[in-house]
Amino acid sequence: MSKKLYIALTILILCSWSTMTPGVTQMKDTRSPVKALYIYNFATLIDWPSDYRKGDFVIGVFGDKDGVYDNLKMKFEGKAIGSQEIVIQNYSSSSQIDKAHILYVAPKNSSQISSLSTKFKGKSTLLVSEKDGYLSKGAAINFVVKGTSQKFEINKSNAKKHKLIIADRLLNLASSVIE
Amino acid sequence: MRKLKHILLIAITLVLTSSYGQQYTTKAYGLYQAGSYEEAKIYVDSAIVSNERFNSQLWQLRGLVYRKLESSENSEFRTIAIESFVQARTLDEEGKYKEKIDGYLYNTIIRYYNDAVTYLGEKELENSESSYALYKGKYKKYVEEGFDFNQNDIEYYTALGSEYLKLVSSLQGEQKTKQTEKGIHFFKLVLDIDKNQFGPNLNIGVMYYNNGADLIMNMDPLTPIEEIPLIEENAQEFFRKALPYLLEAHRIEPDRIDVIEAITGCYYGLQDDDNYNKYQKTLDEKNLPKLLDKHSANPKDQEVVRELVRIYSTTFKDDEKYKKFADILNNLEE
Repeated sequence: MSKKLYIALTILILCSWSTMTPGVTQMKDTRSPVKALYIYNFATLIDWPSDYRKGDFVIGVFGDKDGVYDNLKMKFEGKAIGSQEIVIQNYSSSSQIDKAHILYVAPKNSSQISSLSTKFKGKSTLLVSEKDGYLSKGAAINFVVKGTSQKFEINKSNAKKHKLIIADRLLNLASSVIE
Repeated sequence: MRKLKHILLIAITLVLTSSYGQQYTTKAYGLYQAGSYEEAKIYVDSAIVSNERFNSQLWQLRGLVYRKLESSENSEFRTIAIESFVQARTLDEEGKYKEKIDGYLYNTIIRYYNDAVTYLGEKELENSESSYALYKGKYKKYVEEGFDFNQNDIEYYTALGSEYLKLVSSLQGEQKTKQTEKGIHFFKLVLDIDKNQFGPNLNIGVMYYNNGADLIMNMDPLTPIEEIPLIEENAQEFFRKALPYLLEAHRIEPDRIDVIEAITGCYYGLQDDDNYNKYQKTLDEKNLPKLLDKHSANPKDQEVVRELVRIYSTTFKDDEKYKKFADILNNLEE
């Protein structure tokens, strides 16, 4: 074989290589799937009063229609909690929110936690926030980052106010529990 | 008596011709020229067990015949061809055919390189790798012992690693991890030669990043809560491995958006908001004009509007623009 062919083959390799260098996939939202999976597990490890064990099991997201909402919708809608089918709802304003078993409040809407807590007084909605200090503003569970890990903290009395009973298994995994 | 002498002389001449002449070689050469390689092979193989075996030209011819007959079914013929050329060179004590024989050897050994390239195209990556190793080994042994393969290695291993990168995109689980490690291994071979190679740095970073991201994106929805931190930890281990390579790629080509994007993704996955915000800002600075252009061209593209909402609510806070695009997004989603 001639040296020319050798060179041609080398160029072929180079071409193959050059088409591969921009092989970066888009940045992925790797935080939301973790939060969505935690929220689903909250649903399985918390007891709701009997009047909340009928009909659909509603998980609401008060925030943008992406991230946590997308993940919940994609992976958990249609699955069951006991005999209840999971339905994922998105709300862009607090006035849209009606009956929900779990309401995840995105960080940008955190300031509304207190008013939501008041709104859901006497109702069994688990309020989940994602901002430091929001357990004291009415959330029963708050997502926090400890080191490099996604954790959650629990305010037991806020849960009790909404007649929610949190399993010890969940309490044991919380980074902190406020009685 | 004179007649008897004459007969004896003829007989002696015949014996000598058959013993010391080149009849097999001559016959084989004729057949080779006529394209009857199988028959030529019979004669060259007979010649090497006769007294003709001391002739360099016979071994050259044998090498050529076997090279012609080489196919995927009898790949050992290439080895025989090479051995024949080597023997031809040994017998060519005066170096009369040196250039010719060296050419034969080079052109035969290069076939291993061709195989490596062909296998690469056919996605037979392990065969490609072993062919390339054969090529290098034989080249050093028979063509040029001190040949510097660095440039060839950079090109070949980059191409091989890239094929693994392509391959892993269609795999999942343990297979993906295993093949990713192989791809990374080849890119690392390139970096051992030249750490300033952009492609291998980028690709190693991307392979690690993708592995980590996949662990999270593909989590089983029924994963018990106790296992979530373990999966997160494993994914972050990959992000940590990816970062040094991506940062190096960023140093080499600071304007490459895909590199900045991958770095941003690593810091995001590592919950390192300081660094995440820093690189996200760089990314948003570069992307914002393009996003605005895209929005002008196609105002109904929800992904573009969503990105603009994010940018104006986080990186470049602007309440007026945020509201404008948030309203557009709401309308589009309805």
